[in-house]
Amino acid sequence: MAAIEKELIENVKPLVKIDGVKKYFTKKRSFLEKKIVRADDIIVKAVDDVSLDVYPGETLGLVGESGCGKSTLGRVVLRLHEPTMGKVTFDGDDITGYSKQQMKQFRSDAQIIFQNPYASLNPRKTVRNILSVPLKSQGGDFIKREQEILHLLDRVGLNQRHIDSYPHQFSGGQRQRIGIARALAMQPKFIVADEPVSALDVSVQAQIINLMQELQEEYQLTYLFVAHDLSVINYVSDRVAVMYLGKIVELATTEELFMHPLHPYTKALLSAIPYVDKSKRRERILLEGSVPSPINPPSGCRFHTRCYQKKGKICTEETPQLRQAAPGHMISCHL
Amino acid sequence: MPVTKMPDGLSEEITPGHPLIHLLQIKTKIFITDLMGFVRKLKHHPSALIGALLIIFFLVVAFFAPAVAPHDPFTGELSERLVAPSWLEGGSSQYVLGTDQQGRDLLSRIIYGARISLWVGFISVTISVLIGTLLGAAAGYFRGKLDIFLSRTADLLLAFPFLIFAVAVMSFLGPGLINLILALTFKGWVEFFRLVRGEMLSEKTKEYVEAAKANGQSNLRIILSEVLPNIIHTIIVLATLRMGFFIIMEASLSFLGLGIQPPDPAWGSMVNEGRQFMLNAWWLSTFPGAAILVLVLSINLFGEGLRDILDPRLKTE
Amino acid sequence: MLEIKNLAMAFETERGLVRAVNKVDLSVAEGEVMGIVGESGCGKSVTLLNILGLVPHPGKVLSGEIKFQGEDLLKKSKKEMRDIRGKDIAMIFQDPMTTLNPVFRIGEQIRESMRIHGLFKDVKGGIFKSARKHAEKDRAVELMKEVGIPSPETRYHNFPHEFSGGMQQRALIAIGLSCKPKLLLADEPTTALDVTIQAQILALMQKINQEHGAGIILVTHDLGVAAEFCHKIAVMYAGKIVEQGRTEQVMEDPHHPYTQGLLRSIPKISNRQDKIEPIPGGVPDLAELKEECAFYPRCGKAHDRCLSQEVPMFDAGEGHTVRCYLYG
Repeated sequence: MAAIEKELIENVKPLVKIDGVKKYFTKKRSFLEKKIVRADDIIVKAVDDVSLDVYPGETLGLVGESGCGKSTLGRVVLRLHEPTMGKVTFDGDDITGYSKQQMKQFRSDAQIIFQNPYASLNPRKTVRNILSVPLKSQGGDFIKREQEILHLLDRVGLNQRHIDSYPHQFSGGQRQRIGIARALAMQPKFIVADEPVSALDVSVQAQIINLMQELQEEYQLTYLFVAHDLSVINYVSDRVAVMYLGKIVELATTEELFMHPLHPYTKALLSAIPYVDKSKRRERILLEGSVPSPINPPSGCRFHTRCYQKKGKICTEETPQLRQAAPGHMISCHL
Repeated sequence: MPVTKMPDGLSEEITPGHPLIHLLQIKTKIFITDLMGFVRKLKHHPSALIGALLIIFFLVVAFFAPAVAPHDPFTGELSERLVAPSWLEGGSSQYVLGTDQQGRDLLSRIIYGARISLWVGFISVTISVLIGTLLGAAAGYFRGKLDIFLSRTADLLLAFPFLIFAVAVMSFLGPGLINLILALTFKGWVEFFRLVRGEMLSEKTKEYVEAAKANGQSNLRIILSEVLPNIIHTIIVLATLRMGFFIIMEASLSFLGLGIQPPDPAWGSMVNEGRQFMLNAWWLSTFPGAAILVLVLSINLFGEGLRDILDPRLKTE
Repeated sequence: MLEIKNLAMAFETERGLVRAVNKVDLSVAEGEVMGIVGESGCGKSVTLLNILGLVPHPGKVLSGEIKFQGEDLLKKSKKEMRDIRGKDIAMIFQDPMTTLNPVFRIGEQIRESMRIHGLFKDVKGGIFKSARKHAEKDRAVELMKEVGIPSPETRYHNFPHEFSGGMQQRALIAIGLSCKPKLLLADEPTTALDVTIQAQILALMQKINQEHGAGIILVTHDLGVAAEFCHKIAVMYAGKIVEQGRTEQVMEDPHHPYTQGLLRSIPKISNRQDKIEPIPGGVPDLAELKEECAFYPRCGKAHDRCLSQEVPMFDAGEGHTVRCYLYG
């Protein structure tokens, strides 16, 4: 919608620019382990050279299965994890080099909504306390904060009299609303939503999705929407990036991706979705085996071990780069 | 998931009037509700209840010692040496539990001894908790070289059996109350260090901590205001149980002559002094020993009950 | 083959009687796949547990009967139930990581079921019963091959943590199949798995259904999974079945407002522009159920009659039943 047009106009700068980001988690072996058992450091290549742009006002869907690195990428963008390599630019500035003072401002501009509504709220704090934390960093006095908390509760659809209740007294959907209120309290421009509805019941998912979309329009928010549920991604996103084993394998507008998927993994992924509507069901492509470990990812194209359209030796040797296959449609494949 | 009932009293509308006062009212209400809930749970737990009542009994007796004790614990009538307890032949109602070799009333000495035991137990535990929690939280949260250093130190200290260690320290420092507390806390903090470090390691990975970071909270604030409130109940349980242990340690050291010195009425030294009279005046060692037993038992009962009450309640919620 | 009639079961808690299963009628014929669909807390998992008598304390069966091949399971003794569990009726749980015992090898766990049910007890062996062990091992490897675990001979000796999520679930299915059950109970078997792995597991279960003729009861909250995989569907809400029928009937022509609401609240890939309509409100507290229709507060089409008494099941034709006054 808005973002596609902007992209085509091409003089709109991305709000968030992810440039060659790598995030490796290293488990160092002790001196003894290295010498005696000859064990190497274990390196988990969670995010392996990802470059992505997020345009203002859009919802960029980030989809992939477990272990593909999408949650890690979301956190690196916010510098909740430090990138091992590469840089992240927010509104033109390189945040990887930010000072403490600058980070404070960034934290106010960029927020996160977590997946697990049960674990993301401190069980010992009341709603008031939970929401005071971000508001305190905004400054202002006590009375102003109180009013702001009440206003936030109202905006996310919670009854104001619950302000002194504890998380365990709420349902999953309500807790997620508190999480959203917490993210909003900082008045951000950009929100990373890390599987915000995966842990909720179907009917509640719809409520939360609708809420997030309303808020996006009202507050001019930009979302990086991480999820594994393709129907949800399809519904909320303007553009979608598909990740596999730490790399982006395909990037396109939502419609384009779902109608004309190009990468073999994307095709398999889309074919696996169970549909209620019979006419929409696709020919099932069943992939062999399971996802390889990110500790020792396959050489060359990460997907070649399970690819049913393997071209040949090149897939094992060379890592494909993300290049344009059609206008606005990027793919990382040798085909 | 169905919505559970909101606690009563919180369903009023936001009242006009100064919000700070209102906040204070709410906080007090929450505190009282929690306290009442705790007492109610305690009623369901007979052993913990007995433990709690006994502890309160000891506390009251120790506090009001000058009023409760029938005689002066320090001075004795030499003419009344080794009088038997009142219900035995040769006993007198003046000295309910009998007298010791210096004619001092045993009951009064035991009452005053309670002060020493409780005092030592409480101070040692408090200091150990403070040191252990501070170091444990830092080690668990920041990891790295600090953690390695502290953990190895803790491991080193743990290698020594507590009593031997305490004896060594006391021999080095000399007897006395302060030195005793020092000896106990020197090794005593390690248990709390390990507990808090472990809890910190597991809480640190939870999403609400990440959320606090995303909100820009400093590390110190995260440790103090986010994680610690979630850990505190386990610390309290361990502190209660360790207090019983420290009291026994104090008694042991006093028994060995290293702790509280006579003429102070420490139960441990009373047991020691009474040893030579075991055959003809058995009550000199027995009653102080019984006092140690009952106090530590009640503390342990309460501590165990506390663990049951505090833990599953949090889990089901 | 399996017929549940008027099953009512509740938990006696401090807060009162929690009616987890409230007058449920279900039937599964041989070789049929029945889906029980609903959100969390509606009682679908508990219904399965009741069939095998695995409901934890303080659950109590209040009324009804569960007839398996003509015999009422609720009347059986503990020993008789133990015989049935794993042999005639097998169950697959949601999270394979916690269902498999982490300290035993996979092969041993598959064999355990065979050993308990004496599958090979007639095989003569020495004192160490090695012949029987070999027979069990062979069957275990065969099962692993059937469920699609690669290199079963080697994998036989692996521990659960050495398997991926999908493979663990396959191992669980292998355990379930080891004694050739007639009925397989699957409680959200793919919820914890990625969507491509889910597709594999569902294909496997379909194969089992077709090749072995085993009946399956699949509990899930994913309507798409139920629609693709099951022959019959029962929709549960607050402990009661609110709609039941063949898959096409329930999915393409939903009658009950709850079913309709659920279908409307799922984003459909086909029509992105269709706004999803959430069902307002939340799932009711099972401890506070009253006589009336539990869906009343959230139903857009309710009228006074819905509040008056218990809503019975109405026939909507050809085996399609709905618990709603709009149809009766």
